Amino acid sequence: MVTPSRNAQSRNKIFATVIKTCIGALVCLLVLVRSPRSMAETENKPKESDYYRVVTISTSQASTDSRSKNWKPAPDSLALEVSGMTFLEDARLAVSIRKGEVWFLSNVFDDPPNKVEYHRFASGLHEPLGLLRHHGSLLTVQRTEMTRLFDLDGDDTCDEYQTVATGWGVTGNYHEYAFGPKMDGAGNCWLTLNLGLGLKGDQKSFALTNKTLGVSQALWRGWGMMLTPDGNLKPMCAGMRSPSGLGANLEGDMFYSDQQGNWVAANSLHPLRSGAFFHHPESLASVEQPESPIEPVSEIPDGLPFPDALKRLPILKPPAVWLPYKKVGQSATDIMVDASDGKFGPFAGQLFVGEFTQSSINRVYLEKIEGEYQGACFPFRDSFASAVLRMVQGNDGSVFVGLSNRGWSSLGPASYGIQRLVWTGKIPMEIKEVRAQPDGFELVFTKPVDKHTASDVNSYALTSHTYRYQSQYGSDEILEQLLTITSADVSADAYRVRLTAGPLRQHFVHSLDASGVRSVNGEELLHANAYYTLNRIPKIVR
Amino acid sequence: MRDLRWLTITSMIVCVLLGVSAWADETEPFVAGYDRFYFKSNDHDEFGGLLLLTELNCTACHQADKRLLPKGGPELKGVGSRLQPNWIRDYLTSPSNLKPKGTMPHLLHQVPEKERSDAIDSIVAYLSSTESLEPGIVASGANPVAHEFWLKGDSERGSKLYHSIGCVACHALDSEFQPPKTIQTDLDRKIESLGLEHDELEAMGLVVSKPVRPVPMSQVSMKYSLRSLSMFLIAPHLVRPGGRMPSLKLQPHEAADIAVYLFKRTGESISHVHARSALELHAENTLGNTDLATRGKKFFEQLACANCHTESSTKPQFAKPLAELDVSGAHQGCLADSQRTPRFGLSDGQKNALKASIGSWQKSNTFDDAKGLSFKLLQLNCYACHERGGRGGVGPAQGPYFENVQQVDIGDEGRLPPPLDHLGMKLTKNWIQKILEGNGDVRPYFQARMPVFSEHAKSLAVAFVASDQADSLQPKERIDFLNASKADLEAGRQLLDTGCVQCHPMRGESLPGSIGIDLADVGNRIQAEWFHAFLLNPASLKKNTRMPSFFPDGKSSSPHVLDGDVSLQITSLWRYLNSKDQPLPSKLEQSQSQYFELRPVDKPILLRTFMETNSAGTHAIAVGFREQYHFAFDAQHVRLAEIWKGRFLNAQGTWFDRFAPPAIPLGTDRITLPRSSFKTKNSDGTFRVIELNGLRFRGYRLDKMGVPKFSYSVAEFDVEDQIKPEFNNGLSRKLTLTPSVRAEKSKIEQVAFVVVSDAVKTNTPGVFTTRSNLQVTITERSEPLQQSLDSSELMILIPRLPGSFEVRYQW
Repeated sequence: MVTPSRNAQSRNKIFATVIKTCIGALVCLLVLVRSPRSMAETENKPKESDYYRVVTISTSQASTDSRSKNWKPAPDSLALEVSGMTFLEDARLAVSIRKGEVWFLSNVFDDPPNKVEYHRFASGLHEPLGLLRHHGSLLTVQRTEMTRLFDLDGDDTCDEYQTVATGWGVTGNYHEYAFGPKMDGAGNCWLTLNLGLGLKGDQKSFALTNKTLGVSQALWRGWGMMLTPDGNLKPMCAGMRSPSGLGANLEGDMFYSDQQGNWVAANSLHPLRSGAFFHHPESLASVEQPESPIEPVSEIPDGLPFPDALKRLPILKPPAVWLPYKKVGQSATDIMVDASDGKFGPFAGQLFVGEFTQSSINRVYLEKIEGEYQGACFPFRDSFASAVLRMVQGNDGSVFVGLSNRGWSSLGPASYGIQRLVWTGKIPMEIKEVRAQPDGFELVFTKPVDKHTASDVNSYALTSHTYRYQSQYGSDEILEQLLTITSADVSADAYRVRLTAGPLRQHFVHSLDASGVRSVNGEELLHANAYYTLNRIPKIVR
Repeated sequence: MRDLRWLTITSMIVCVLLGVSAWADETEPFVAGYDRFYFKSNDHDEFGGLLLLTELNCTACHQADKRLLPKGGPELKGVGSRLQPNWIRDYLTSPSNLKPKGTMPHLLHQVPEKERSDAIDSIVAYLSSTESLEPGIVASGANPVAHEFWLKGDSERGSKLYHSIGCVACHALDSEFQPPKTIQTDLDRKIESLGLEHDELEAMGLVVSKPVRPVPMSQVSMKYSLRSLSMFLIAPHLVRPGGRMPSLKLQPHEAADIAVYLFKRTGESISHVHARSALELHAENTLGNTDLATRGKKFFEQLACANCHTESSTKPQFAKPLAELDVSGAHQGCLADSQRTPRFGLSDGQKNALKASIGSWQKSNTFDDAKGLSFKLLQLNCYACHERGGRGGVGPAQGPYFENVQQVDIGDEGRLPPPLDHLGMKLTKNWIQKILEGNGDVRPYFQARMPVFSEHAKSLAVAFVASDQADSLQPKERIDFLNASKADLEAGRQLLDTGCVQCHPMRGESLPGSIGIDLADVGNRIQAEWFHAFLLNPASLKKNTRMPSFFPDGKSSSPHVLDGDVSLQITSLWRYLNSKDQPLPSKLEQSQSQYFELRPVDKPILLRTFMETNSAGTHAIAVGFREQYHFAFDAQHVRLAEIWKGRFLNAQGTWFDRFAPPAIPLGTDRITLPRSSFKTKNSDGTFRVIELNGLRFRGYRLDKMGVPKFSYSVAEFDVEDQIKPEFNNGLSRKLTLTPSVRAEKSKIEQVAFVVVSDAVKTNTPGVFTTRSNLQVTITERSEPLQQSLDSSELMILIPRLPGSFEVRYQW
């Protein structure tokens, strides 16, 4: 042990040293000092969470990476990888999960939701990717069939799994997902069939080949199928790559979303109708089947700007809305119409599109020009805990968001779960609608605008671009052009602004940046960007 | 003994604290390795000064050979669109004012004062005129990139990242950030072992152990935009090719989080940042002012900026080569802070170190492998994280910020970057290379990330192997690792169960709660001799390791395996671990199956899945019974496809494997049944297969016991088909066939049910056996059935009337 005298000596020395050290530390920590100002100023900026609150019902992080070969759910938890959701008559939420089960969740509307109960209704399904309450029972689409789930003896457990539609090609390739069903206004139930990717060995022998085009896929892969109320499954439209989202608007017209990849230049939203072809030529492996409503074609142009490809390939139909890559997501998923008539905020009747990679939801405004849908998309809400795969609206207008990112990657801390998006009752300052006009666009805002900023053409910027229709993955935004905005006229009620701008280009995406506009109370736009797909330029002012 | 340790620690700490006290007043350039190991130290090897020579870029002007390659300066291409012009201006005016302790010397003092401001403007104009430089960030399904992601950072997340992934090994901690929990380092444990009271320790300054001082950072909010800082953090090598700032493999959103955190921590208001970033930094408009830029270029050349900032269009201006510098007398040139040389603000200690090392370098400028390697480790500051030869490692203040993901205490080796002792003997050269390239992460439980170093680190792999080979392990007898007998593989597999898998995963499978390095494919990473020596005595190669010895005193703790032959056991482990096609160790298999093996205990379990084509195929419905008899039904061809006994199925592939592999029966006695269950009779009396369009699966209903009854139609018959175990003695199947209403009216063809296709009639009526020893019994229920055994295909001809029959399968 050290002697006391020595101890005292070194104590003095050390004391002096400590003082010096403190000074030193203070000086070098100067750069670390936080400004108290910064917090307050950050809070002034509008945030999505001020208007739409995320309530977590259940989220979990898997114990492995989302792409791991040995993927495992979080220990001791239900692998709530939500693949479909629908409400039962008794307000329980029915949820299908990717491992092949259907669960009923009670008390999901509680806030905070800490009394949610889970009851397993069905099991043994093969990766069901949708769930729909339909004529008093549940319909789901498994990899190989559409199935109706009955509870015959009333014990709240499924005891009949009735095959209501089957017969599409399944080679065993992992990428051959089957999505749906969703019901349109005429009572048809739609499902969509993913393309296979990299068929191997035996899988190839189950594929059809279209020798003219040199493409090969299993029967009806890349097609949208419709089950009529009398039970016939019909192939309706082709060209889909990864059609993980289906949904009808309030008029009852069915839409699907596709994801960027080979032949799909960017994520897109399309109305489904007989005979349409959207992107991917491999789906045309089935075009020579007698049931095909699409006439065979002899060649597919590769590498043309999309408007030129439309001319060269008459079966090719443009999306109602392109969702520009990164700006409005990276992998579009489910489609949900806000049918709450205002209970979910100011966007009643608009479509919401789920986003996998960025764990967010985007918003779409549609209008019909000369009988065809087109419109604009907008970022809406980000920061969900994981990939947004499914959405369903509750009776109170709030939206239940089903999450699962296995197999791909997403932002956010979780791997799967359910969250709920609740409107706080505050109206965000947003561009609600963008409407095409013969000489520009009409913007409709959610709140009255400040006339000074809104009538200043410098508050806006407009550019247009298109994509390349090509076999390569995705496409850059090409042929970009700046528009000249000549006037910005504010309506008397200050909700609308009429932009006169040119040149407008048919079949181009017109990107608007309205970041200069303020509300009458001086608020900034929550999202200043909108992207309008101008398939048709209206001939008359509307 | 105890007293001795105490003295050592006290003197060490006092010495360091004195150092710290002086530090605040210092403006001398900070070089991490120098500061940590040579600053006020008695360590007088020549490295201290040599390190300054390369890290302060002395050798960029005073050229030496390639062993003293200068660090180099940042890439200035497009700097005008990256950094705020005012910052560049102020920086050139006085580098040390803007970045105290930075390594950039003051150069502009060489320009007469009245011309200086013009010189600075012109240099800024010149630099701004060069093309911009930004990493290409490609968004994809694997790489989420939000639009303008740099504006979407979250400073709280950024702070968490900054304090957990390894930034703080080199850069300043934020005193406000608390590490997740208090962690005892090995040094803490030593101090604790002194057995003193806390106040005693405090009075002696012992709670403050040897600090590692942070590499200074500019006030980033004055220097960058959120965008340019995020981009820098994503790809630091692009701007700093010297590679001293490595890449921490940040996702774009992570870079944005850290960027906004650093802005906030340096006192910036975020809304200001956003406002400014929205406008972006625009390179100063030099169009129409090309004169200024031209003049700037001239200054750039004159001041020898290009010596450090490699600019292809300007020429470097070299000074006297290192070998010719006169360091015999008083300080000269840069060391004398002359008016005509760059001013570094060197301390006297640094000057002396430089002088001494230049002198000794001139006398004998040789590095052996080991020295060359240590020097490289100093230059790249590997010691900030890694210990080697008793030097370096994460500093004591930084230590608690290194954690494993689960925050489980498995010692320092479970959270701190591994020591590099014997690395060249332990890892293969290729694997070291892979690690340096950022692809060799084997500790997924670490929060800290092994960064990616640039080209400069490339030589390290060779250097490690070369320098560690010298004192090689020299196993007493060289083991033939490749030619061990195949029978040993099972022994290796067995040995893994006796201690290895309790901590180590293998091929991604692990026992619950275990944390360790995955042992699969170990031969790609580890050298066989090291493996052998490490297993024999782990602590001899890795002090304080928690890896126990399974061969205490050189004797195996599993004497029953391979007669307890230690070498053979280790060899068999090695062989097993390096064979890809071996089954997992049984404990891992059990653990895996505990989660994913379907074991019917009460009701049957039904799983729709993919199975192999020769089994139930893509439309499989596998049904398992607690009686241990199971079957797979092919819903596409409506046929019983396969039956087996014993264990049922593992569902992991079906439930959770992205690539949806076919489920393969786990049990025994697998028997496949005919490809086609139904045929129709041709007019010539032969039978043909009913194609898919004549078959239609309609689903199944579960009875009270949970046994499914399948419904389907075949030609013009509706069929109900239920298969279940019978008396623990096989499966019994009941088929009920009803001609549809339509069928009764039409004249339907004769339909036959194919029972088996390789049957042999037995002496008992209605009983058949097959080549695979399946015994099939047909029981008639309603009316006599017509059976046909045609070239070993056993068929039942279906009458045109409703009815049923039973088939019993025993095997």
